[in-house]
Amino acid sequence: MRALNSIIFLILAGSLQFISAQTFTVSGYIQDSASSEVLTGANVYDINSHKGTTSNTYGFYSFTLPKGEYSLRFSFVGYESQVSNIKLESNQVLNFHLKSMLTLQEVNITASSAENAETSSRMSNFNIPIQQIKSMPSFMGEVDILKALQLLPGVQSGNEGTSALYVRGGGPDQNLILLDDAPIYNAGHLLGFFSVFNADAIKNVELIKGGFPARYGGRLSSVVDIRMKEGNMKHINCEGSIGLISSKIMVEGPILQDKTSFIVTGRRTYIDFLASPLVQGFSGDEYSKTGLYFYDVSAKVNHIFSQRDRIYLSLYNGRDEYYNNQLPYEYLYDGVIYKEQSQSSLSWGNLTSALKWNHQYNEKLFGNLALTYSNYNYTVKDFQESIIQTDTSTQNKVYSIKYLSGIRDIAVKADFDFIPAPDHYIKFGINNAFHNFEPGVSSYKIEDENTSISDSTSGDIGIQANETSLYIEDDYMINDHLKANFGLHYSAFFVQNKLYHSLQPRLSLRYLLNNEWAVKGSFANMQQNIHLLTNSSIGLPTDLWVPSTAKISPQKSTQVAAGVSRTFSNNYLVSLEGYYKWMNHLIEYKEGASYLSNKINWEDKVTTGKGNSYGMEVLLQKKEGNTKGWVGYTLAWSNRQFAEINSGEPFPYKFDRRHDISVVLMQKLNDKWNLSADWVFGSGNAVTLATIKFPGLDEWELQTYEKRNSYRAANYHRLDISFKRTRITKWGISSWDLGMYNIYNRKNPFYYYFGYDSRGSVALKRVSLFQMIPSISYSFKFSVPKHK
Amino acid sequence: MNKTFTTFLIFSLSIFLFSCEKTEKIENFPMSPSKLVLNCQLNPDSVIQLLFYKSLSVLDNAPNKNITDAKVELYKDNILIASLPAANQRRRYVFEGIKPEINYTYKVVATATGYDPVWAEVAVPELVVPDKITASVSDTFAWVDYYSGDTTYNATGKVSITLTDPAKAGNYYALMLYTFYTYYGMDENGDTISFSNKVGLYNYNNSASSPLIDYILGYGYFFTDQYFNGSQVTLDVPVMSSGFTKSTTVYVELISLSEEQYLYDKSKMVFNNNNGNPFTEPIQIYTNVKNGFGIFSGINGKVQTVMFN
Repeated sequence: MRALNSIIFLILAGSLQFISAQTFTVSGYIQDSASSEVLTGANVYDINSHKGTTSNTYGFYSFTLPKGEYSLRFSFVGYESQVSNIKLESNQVLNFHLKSMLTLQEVNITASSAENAETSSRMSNFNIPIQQIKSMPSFMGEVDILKALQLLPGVQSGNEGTSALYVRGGGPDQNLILLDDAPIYNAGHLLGFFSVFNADAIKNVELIKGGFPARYGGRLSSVVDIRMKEGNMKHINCEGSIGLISSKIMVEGPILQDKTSFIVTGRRTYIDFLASPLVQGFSGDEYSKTGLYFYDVSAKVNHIFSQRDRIYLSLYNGRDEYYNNQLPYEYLYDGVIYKEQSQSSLSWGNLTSALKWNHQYNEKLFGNLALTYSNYNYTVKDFQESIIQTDTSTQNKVYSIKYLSGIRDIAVKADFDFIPAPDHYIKFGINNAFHNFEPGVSSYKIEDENTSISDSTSGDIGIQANETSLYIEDDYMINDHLKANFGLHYSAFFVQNKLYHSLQPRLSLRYLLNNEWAVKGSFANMQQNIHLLTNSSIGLPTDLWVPSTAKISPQKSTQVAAGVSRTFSNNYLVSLEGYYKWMNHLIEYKEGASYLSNKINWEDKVTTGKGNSYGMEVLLQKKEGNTKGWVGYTLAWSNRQFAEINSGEPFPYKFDRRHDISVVLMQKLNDKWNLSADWVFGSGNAVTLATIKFPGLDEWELQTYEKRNSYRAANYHRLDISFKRTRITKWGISSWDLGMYNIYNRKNPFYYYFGYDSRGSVALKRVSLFQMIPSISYSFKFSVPKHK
Repeated sequence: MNKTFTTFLIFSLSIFLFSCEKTEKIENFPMSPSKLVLNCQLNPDSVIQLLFYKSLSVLDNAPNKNITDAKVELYKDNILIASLPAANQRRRYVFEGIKPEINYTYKVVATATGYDPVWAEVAVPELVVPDKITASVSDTFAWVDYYSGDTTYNATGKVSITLTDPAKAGNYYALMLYTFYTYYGMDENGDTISFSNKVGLYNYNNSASSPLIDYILGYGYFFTDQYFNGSQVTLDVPVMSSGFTKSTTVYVELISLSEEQYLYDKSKMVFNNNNGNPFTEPIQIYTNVKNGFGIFSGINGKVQTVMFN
């Protein structure tokens, strides 16, 4: 309580001091001139006083200054800066349209006027422009947002090819992935090899791995805040691509000129069509049909009611499906007709939607009210039917089994931005989410020839929980050198008549040593009320989301970080950060437990423990010019300790990776050709291998391990390269993207096992997954001209 | 469901693995030093006997021979009651005339040249005899072998056991259910002889069996008194097997286990389930042998019979 009082006092003291002078506010929206898309994080800067502000997620800015004349510079990454001279004698509305340097004539983006890292109070966060993500080398021709984030220091990939994020020693469940404010619970398609996000639908991606602002909560390790495009308000645009394994399309445009816009995207793989003949050929079974595919669609509509009011409605639906069907067939044997068919399927996916209402209460207060829905589930179905038909009788037997697991959220949140003075940016809000967990329910049904029916449902019962959070934070310029972002996040989780609540202080500080060097520090307490139960490290859909319960406490963490950063020539960034993170109440399956043994409640299958992680991250980045890119290096340790694993002794986390290096290069070769490449290196993951054998009581051989994760896999490294040729045509732009994944054919480890060598001796073997994989894709983009 | 998921994994991974899966031998894998392995199960009906081995690296292709030159001391409630300088019955260390008793703690200390000394201790659990046992057949059906044309009769049924748990907490049980199947053959003289095989009564419906059962290993049903400590409880086990029908005798063996035996069997069950699956974590086989491997445990059980009706 004392902390809360201190924060409110600090905010009020700073604000009142400013309010006492005669001030006026200039406010409005900053938008793209061509599409009227709002620009998030655009800078508004007074050239004379060196004070400034930034636009919020919805493009709104508010800048309060004493009465006078000002030269305001509006700027944003990839856009031409503009200066506006204003005479401030009353409150003014000034909407600004910035012109993108990314036009149809120039595909290669040129970043400019990026906010320098040393000017921000925040640390451990990144914004990657979506165009930059699109220009990086892709896996099988599929641009992947999450895989681009894996190239940043402090963020590690898990197993080969997967898009799961391991941030500062945390697990993949400790990342809050938000799509237009709705949480995404499984961000992977096809065992995690592709992320669920179609880059064509995305406007902005922000990753926060430490120094969390108070507005975020509910996860321990990171926040990935993804914002969808709103849709072009001016004209209809169409983008698409055709690749080796999938194709996608995006259409956006106005419904009412400058009032209402829409965007629709769709993507589907066709591995099932391509693989089906092969599978049938190999199996020799013409009645068998097996396939695996995913699709995702997203749509968004937004409408501007007035300068002060705007609504957004967005929807995402993505699903993976595996099926194995035995088509109906019949045969005659000994005068009896037999008819049989079967269908098996496994499907999983996310459905999210968000309805948001922006309202500008006055020049200094902006609000957003959001209603979000998120549903993740997976289903396993087996159905078999057989009919035995004779001259005199017909016997019918039906067997079916279904397994269902999922999590469903409905949330309401209200967020407010209050900008009383240039030195303060206050955010506060409230969020209430209702969770419905179904950790795993099986049902089976048998109908035999006598029509006796056996029907049973078993497994974990559903759990409902309510999660409420409140926050307040202020981005406070204390003096010319010292800037702070501080706040409080309160979380209350009510489940099974038990209330878990916590007050989580957050603080980020920046001290400017001179105009170029900044020293930063941060502190964050986090609480995570939900857990992911997983047996594997490849992001299987069978991973279960479960809540904290009366028996299982929420996960908690404390993270401290410190660092320095400097920007040279407004183009080169150097950043060095160190961190230490303590984690408590982590859960893990007990040895050998899995989701399939639903005989006992999941709470009995888990053990709780703690962990820590610490390390150092270096980033060297070149932001502008024909040559752009970065080098990231992470030195890290991550450990776990559970009472019922490894005899209670601490052990390295499976993705405890000592060294992690990423080199990313984007080179404009000429007006038509662009080259991009990335090279990644990671020291070997920690692996548990049963290295010892001995006879058991019955004298059968048993194998065991001595220490968990005591064996180190081979180092991981690979080079990806991509060439893009862009051609401007009469109708728009077309481009060919030729890529090569793992160009020097490195056999990176996927998993290890003990097998036999050619002499019949036991040998440890390594399985590699993706070696050199070429890809090719064709992209197009065009605008529908306006009718005159 | 398991099958669906497994075929899904194989199918989806094979798409990605197609033409890019490579297996290569890893040289210079670090070998773990050998430790003594002690295996012994105390049973009040038998004299105490132990077996010793050495642990081997999984890469070691040599057969695992018994260690017969270990010096072994046996303690009862920390009082030395016997010792052996080496194996005395071929490969076994047999303490003649010493049968373990309940409510005493037995400890074994062993040393052998080239190995760290090992020790372990355990108490034999109290015998619990079921208060009531019933067995009923719910359905029988014939199954004709496709190739031989032989008809086998299978049955499903239920075995119910009522027992009273001793007052102290931490009792562990294994329930073994089986029948004997008799078949006939001829000896070398052409005389008809009969063979009797133990046939386990396997659980056919995991979700319908008693929620008290923690895990199943073979035809053994393992459970603890966690949910019925000190009180009477009835367990229902749905069973299925070939070769039983009404009037078949079912053998019910309720065995009290030491905690060590229970945990050891549980880890073995997981080991059996996970063996060969590259996507599951290896299991640590439970041991209570300090400085070594193996198990020093206690059991106490009794076989009873009842007829299916």
